[in-house]
Amino acid sequence: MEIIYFSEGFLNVLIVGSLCFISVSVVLLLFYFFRDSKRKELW
Amino acid sequence: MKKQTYILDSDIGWLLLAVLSVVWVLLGIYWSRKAKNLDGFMLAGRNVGLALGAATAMATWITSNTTMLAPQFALELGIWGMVAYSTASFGLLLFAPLAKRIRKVMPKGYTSGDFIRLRYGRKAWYLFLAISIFYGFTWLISMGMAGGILMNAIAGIPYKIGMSVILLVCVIYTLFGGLYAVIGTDFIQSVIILIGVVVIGFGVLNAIEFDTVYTNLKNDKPMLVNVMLPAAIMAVFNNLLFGIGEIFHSNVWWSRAFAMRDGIGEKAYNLAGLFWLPVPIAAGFIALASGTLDINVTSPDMVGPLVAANILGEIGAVVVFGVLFCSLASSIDSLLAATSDLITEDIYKKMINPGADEKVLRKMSTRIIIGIGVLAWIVCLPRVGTLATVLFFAGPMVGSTIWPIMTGLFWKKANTTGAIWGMILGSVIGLVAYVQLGWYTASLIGAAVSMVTVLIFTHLNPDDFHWGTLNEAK
Repeated sequence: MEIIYFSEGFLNVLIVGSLCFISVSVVLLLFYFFRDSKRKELW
Repeated sequence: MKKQTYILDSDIGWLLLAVLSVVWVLLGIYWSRKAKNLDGFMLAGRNVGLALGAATAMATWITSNTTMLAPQFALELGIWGMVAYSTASFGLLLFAPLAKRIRKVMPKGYTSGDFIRLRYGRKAWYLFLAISIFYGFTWLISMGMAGGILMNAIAGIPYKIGMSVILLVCVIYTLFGGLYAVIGTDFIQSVIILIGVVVIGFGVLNAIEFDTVYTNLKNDKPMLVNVMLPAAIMAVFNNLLFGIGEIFHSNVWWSRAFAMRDGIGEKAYNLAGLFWLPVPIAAGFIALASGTLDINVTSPDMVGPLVAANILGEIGAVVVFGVLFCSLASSIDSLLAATSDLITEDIYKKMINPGADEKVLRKMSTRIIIGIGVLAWIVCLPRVGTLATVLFFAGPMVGSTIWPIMTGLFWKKANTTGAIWGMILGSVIGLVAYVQLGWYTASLIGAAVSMVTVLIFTHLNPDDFHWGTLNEAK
């Protein structure tokens, strides 16, 4: 049976996309932190 | 005598260990001022906002397994292995509507045990507590051992010292600040972990040619980029259900649902799931690059640190040390707090001393945190190193709790007999599958058997549960 491989493009998008997504997560976390802090809603 | 070389210089390793330990303990002491009453100590005042809520859920779910085992999954199961590991985020995403529901039906609840007792009665409660405490303790011990092993492998810090320090530090700051300290440190730890993963990931991408990695994989290990790898595809579903079972039943996640302010739980768990999703993929990629870099991988779970140190040198090793320490601490502190809540509330208060007031319970909670820490330390001392297997062994047990919890929260017809037999049959048949077929089928089968059992018993004898019963304080 012929083996079907994941394409290089797919792997590239998966990895770079994940790293970019994590970077955005950090920014969002800090944004929510300062927003909550300003509103006195941290805890 | 020849000195053994480690990924990180031992002196820097000791310095990092000391600095991180002192910082977490000082923060615990600082936040102890907020934990004035029992609700404050156990549930951070039930008023946690979105930033801290999302960060604590995500940081707790990023364990040393996420940063160590995800690369191992990638190395052994390829692209599907990375995807399989990332499906554990679905546990957080699917818990989001449950968190909303939990807060609505149990506004003054304390533990997941409270829910099972009020919804299904004492027999189901005993069974659930046995599963939950076994799982929580196993997870705690596996984290303690991982701490000792990792610090030894990375910086040459003796196993017993590394393991003892990380347990002691987490016990101290949890003891002082309760859930306030756990959630506060989790936020800082989550930022450190995410930045660390991004730095290492982009560092690796910058140092190698992506097409070379892909060509090497296709030529040398074609199965890793194969779309049809049956064991790996099975692992996707197993990991998915194991993750859901772990989160749905564990008091670690219920206590956060009780701790978050009204209207925050659902959003926070959704954000945590989304933030967590790409982390195993980024960590797994590091392992796939190891072949191109011609790194001699002596132990598959050390592939991540080896690649990071190889490419980024001393800075990479420091980042890895920081990320792993934070991954471990964020899980250990949560387990200490949540398991202590479960024992204090469900065993001490409900079974031993129902008349105990807040002061007594707070004192008891402190003693239980110390007791759990000491017990974990004793079990960790021999460095058995096989507890990852035991943790997977808990897979079918926690998988069997998914349906009793989900139907119990949303479906008034779900009944006690179905919940009890769902947990028993799901656990037993799942464990048989674990032994006979393989670990990657156990949670899947345990959850499936439990689902069928719950549905059949509910169909045969539907209950008519009154939701108000869950609001015990009323």
